[in-house]
Amino acid sequence: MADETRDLRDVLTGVLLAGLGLAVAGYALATYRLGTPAAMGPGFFPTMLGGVLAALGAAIGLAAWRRTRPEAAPQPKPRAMLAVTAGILAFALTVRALGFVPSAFLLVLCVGMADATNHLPRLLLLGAALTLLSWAIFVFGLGMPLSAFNL
Amino acid sequence: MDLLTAFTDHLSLGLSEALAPMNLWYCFLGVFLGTLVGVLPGLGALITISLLLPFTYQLPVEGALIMLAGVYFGADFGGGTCSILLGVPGHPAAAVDVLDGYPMAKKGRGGVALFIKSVASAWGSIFGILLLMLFAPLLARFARQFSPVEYTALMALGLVAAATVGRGSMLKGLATMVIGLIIATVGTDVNTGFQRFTFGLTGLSDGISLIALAMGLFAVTEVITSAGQKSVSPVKASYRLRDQLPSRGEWRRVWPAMLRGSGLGALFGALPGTSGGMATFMSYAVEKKLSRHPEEFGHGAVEGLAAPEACNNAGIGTAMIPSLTLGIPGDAVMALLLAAMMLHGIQPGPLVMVMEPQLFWGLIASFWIGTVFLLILNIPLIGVWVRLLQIPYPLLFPGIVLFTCIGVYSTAHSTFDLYLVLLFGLFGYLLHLLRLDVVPLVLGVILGQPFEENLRRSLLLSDGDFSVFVTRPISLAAVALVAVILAFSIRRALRAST
Repeated sequence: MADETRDLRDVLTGVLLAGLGLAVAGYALATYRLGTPAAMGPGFFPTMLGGVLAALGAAIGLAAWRRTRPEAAPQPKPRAMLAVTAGILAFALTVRALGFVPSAFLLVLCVGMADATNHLPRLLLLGAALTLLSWAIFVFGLGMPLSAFNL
Repeated sequence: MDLLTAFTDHLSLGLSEALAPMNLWYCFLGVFLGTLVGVLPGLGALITISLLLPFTYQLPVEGALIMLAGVYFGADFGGGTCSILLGVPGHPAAAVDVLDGYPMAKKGRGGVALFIKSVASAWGSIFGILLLMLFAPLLARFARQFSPVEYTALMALGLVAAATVGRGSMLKGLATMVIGLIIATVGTDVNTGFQRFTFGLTGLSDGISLIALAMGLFAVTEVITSAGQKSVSPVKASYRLRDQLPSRGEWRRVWPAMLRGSGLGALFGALPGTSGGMATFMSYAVEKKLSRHPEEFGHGAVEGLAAPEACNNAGIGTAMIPSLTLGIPGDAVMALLLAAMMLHGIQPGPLVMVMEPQLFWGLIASFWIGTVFLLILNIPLIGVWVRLLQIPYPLLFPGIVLFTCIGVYSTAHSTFDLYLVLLFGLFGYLLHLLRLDVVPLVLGVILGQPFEENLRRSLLLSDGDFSVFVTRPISLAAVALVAVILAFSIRRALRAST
């Protein structure tokens, strides 16, 4: 099968880049005044960049389509992605409502899940230690105006 | 002007500034934190500087820059330690240390390998910074006559060179660089006051927060990519000073290699985009070619460790010549240092040296002081750092994300920036999966606004005539180089596809 030997990851890369380039150029053309080279409007530079990106994306995609040996590609790690996303979201959503201490603790618990070897007792301990440490450094040491609890 | 008097004037001015107690403290803190993070596998100068950027707001500008530059040098030293003892590169530029440093460590000569690495790095730094002090004023004087046309062409050269010299496909490097330029257009257009790509979000009207971008792309992405990987344990070695000293025969092989390495590094560092990985491997190849014992390379040849280390550090020094005098960064770390300058309201460029001589020469003198601190930290105290290598990574990364979030939140108490960090972290991870390098992107973001600004002014002055870029000698040379690099990358892409 010819398709199996194609570098599909890079074909996808090319398509995504070209799509992004076209979207930027199209949006800039549609919304901002283009102007002339001597008196550029706000749309000139973004339209130009979008065009260049679309061309580069097309070149990358085409070259990959014609290539026969795919290069090794990293595999996605949904566990790590989810854990880190959950951790940052938890911090962003709770730091005002609950205060720094519970928020930092939640972040460490969530992010720690990214690694399967981190079991719950260890995470609880790590959460407590890091919360205490960061409280000591940033609030006590550097005097940042963060409140510990807003309960 | 007499080069030597100018040099001694600048040196004494710089030293008087850098030796001020507060600045000494920031310098020490920088190299200490840099070494600390550098020895931990996978964490390098980029993450540390990104993490520290928000905290430098409160510091005076000299202190902030001295500390961040110290982190740069410190992380470089620490990265080498990690390469030698774990066989895993602490950062890309230290990858070459694995080739001969790790075999030495496995033979029980880890202490000697670390000692040679520290001495070679220190020599490289001292030499590179000496060249920086000599040549930066000359280039700056020259650069003060540049018009927007020269700046536009030189920035284009810097961007294209940095985007294509890195690892992987040249076309991909160019593509991420263009994405960076596009990200830089987000916010209020300086010329017309127009809001571009803000989609009605007030948090974006001042442009994308550079701190959030750097933290997302470097710290968060790094955590996602490295989570779940197995920890490696370091090779045991003796770190008493007596056991670290190389034998007389080894010395005789080390010092000429150091000289050659630093010369090559200085040469390459001054060219845009070539610092770091490429020059060190070239220096390694040169040593292997010249050696009377090429069969020892890869099994613990001391030259193969000393020359690339000296090369790397000399290159850091000379790479700062265009970065500090023209304001055109050669790599991502320099881009972040220039960003720190801009956060403190100083526009990087040839005028910094004239308007802020104390800051400029104080910063450069602090590099030498930092090197002395690093020798103290890395030779007698090396055993302390080695123990740090044993911290398992699963315990480390939640702390990185926590410090990232605290840092970003503390700058403006805005949760909007936290969402930006998350967004850029995931975006960086997507780029990683697509095998796209983020470094050119950051250079694009930093240079985007000045590049657009100078391009507009050039064409305004020439009344829209693009030939202005090829009728002035310096600009013509830069444009010709850009054309050569582009032609070369297109040819390589075509050849790879058949």
